[in-house]
Amino acid sequence: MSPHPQWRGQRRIRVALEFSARGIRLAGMKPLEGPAVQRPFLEGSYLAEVTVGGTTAIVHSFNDPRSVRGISRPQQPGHSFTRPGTAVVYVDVPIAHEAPLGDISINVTDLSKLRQRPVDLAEVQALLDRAPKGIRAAGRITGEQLRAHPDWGALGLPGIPSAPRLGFYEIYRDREKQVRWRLRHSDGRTVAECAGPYPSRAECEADLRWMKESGSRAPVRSLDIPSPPTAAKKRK
Amino acid sequence: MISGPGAAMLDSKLFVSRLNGDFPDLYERWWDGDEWIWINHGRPASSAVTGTPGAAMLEEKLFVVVADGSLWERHWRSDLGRWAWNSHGRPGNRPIVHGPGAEMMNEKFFVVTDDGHLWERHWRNDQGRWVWNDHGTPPATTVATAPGAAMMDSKLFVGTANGRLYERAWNGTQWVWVDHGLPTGTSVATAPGAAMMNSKLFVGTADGRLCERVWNGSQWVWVDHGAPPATTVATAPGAAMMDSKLFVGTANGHLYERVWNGSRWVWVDHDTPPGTTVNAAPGAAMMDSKLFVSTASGRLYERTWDGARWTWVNHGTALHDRAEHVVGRPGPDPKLSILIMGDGYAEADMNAYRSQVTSQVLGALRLDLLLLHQGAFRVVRVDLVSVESGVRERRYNTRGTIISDVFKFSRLGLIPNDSWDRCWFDMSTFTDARIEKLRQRFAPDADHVIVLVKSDTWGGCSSVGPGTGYFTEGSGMTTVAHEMGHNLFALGDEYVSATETFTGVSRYPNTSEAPSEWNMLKWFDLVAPNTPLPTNAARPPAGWNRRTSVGAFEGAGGSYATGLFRPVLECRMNQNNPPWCPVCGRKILTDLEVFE
Repeated sequence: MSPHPQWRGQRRIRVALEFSARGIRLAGMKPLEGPAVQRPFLEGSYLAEVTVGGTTAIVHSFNDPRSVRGISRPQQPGHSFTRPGTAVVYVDVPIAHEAPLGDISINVTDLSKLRQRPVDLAEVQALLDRAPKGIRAAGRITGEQLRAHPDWGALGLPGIPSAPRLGFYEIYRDREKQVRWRLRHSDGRTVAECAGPYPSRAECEADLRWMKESGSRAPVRSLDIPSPPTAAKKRK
Repeated sequence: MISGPGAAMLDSKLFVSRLNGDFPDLYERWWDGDEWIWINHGRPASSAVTGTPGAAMLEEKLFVVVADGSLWERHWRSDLGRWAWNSHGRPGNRPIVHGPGAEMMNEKFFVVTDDGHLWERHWRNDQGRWVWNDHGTPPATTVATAPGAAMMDSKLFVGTANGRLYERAWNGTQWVWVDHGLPTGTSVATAPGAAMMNSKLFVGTADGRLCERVWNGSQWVWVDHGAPPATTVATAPGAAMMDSKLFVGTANGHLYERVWNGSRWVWVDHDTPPGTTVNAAPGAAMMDSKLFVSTASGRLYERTWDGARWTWVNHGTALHDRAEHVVGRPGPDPKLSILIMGDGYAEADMNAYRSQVTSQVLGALRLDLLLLHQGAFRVVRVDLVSVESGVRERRYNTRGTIISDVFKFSRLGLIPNDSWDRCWFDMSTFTDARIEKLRQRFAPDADHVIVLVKSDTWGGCSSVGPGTGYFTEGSGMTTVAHEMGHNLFALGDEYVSATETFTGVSRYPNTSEAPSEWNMLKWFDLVAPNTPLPTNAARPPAGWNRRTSVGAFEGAGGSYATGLFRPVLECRMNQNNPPWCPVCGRKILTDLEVFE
């Protein structure tokens, strides 16, 4: 594999950005082997400028992901367009194999209101620097947001301890300062919490130990299934 | 065909043996947190698995018999992070014909060999190894059923060749045979099962009744449960729940429940799974509210309490999702990566699906100049197996009201609606997440996903750039190619079907507003010599090739009859069927160059 001038880095983090009416949200990350590719033309109505360690590493271009197109009807040319509530685009962040990872940020810019604009990389970057009227900052994903995401620990990046994507129990104090626990799914949802506050942290910990040791294998009992109708005949 | 379901674990998985086709393998049916999926565990030593998997232990191991009658263990090796096969051989070098069953203490279970001996396979912790113990035969007869109804970690039951029920029990000093005799007026015909409260078990009898053998506090007695209404018991009893119910398959293919309703035992008819019949003992009971059966159609069905009623859930045939690189090879070198999958294709449809992928999608990717640049692509085809053929179909009237909605359960939940202004498809709530899960599993580097949908309707709906595109089988290769022109190469439409006037600046490489000077036209270097600009579509210059001669024809972008120009009269981005024009071709080549 001989490097191409438009390949960036040796690995990449594929970052999923979810677009919705509320804005852009970091939806996930996954490490991929091989370089990211700087596409030669940036025609899309959105740009995602990825900076690593303060330097522009790559610029991605894509159209509004919340616009989907229907094919023409038979014998009747013309696309239809609809708009789903959310849609995801993927942005590659190029990284080196072993080098320490500089701070990453992703700036998403909406150029759809710009009447005229270039499509090649150098002029697009100059345009972003000028930030003329018509450009709209659509969203920004910071390094802090990336590091806080549950996927970050599973990326296997140099210097970052890997964390399995397990859920976890949390011990916390409620508003009355009493000890409680809750079980969080790996996606952050609370899936269980204690029935009430504990008199002490030790008793809370004891229940958590019991659940970890035996609770996960406790059988499920279904109490919501009614018995068939009774009748007069006695059991033998 | 599949074996009976067995070796349930964690209320979220069970195992079956697939008995026919290209994959006579051990299969796991696993709830992955989002959906039930089939996982292929393969076959040990190239030997087809043949029996019902059983003797699940510690939520991490199970046992299965293969074609030569030897026993194999399938074990989750948490230290290795993978499943492994371990051979347990053949006891006394005799092939195993029944079992494994009657697991005890996570360290022993029993099988029956072709000479009617009962064998124990025992993990001897003191010796650090598994050993075989021959329990021989009951007096004057041989074992003729699978061992079952293990109780108190010290006894189990078998049916014998002379139709009697025998107990094999540890009396504190030695293993002994205990003769439980014949059920009243008949003989034992199935394996014993559905043990409850360490004091009762059930068998099917030769005349199709269900009989209970129960300890009444002072002695073992037979209790005749009779036959279900208008049919007979045809399988071993299984899927015991709550110490008060069990299930059997019957001669008419129904699933019957035998349940203690608080005052007496009653039969509850669960009918047949839709379109097929139960053909093996029910098993893999979970959460007191679901069990599984194998059927004559080769499908696994779940019978589950959904909170209001018992319902059938089709788990389809045991066949796993597979992926194959159909263009290019796996590797870290960047390629324009495409993932193809199908929705609504059951096992029987897989060959047709692969043909559709080849003819429609791969065909589109080989059209025109793309044929010479296959090295720029990496295309992965996922054979995604749905449990039934076809997808849910929905129709709307002109006011947007649903007038029909025919449900089918497909893996991606795509719903063709035959409506252009509804992008041809409705989506299920899980569609996007399911596609993303499959992308992560099979081709995380995929830039674009194409889904072929098994429907007779016309339709295609696609992201405007890289993303996901859905097409029905009927939409055709050239339609797919046109859409890929948009998605992969950011080409604009060259057709016009309305009368609007374009006033902006086109970002597409193959359409242009009128430039201030025509020699500034973005494709001026490709314009045929002596071509008037703009070019009159009605009267092109003499010798004009409608597909390759480049000019500037007014009308493009779908809606714009004026103010926007296209380079040729016929192009794939216009009428779909003609090849991509020289201007589109140049953009395609530039885009692909970074991947070659």
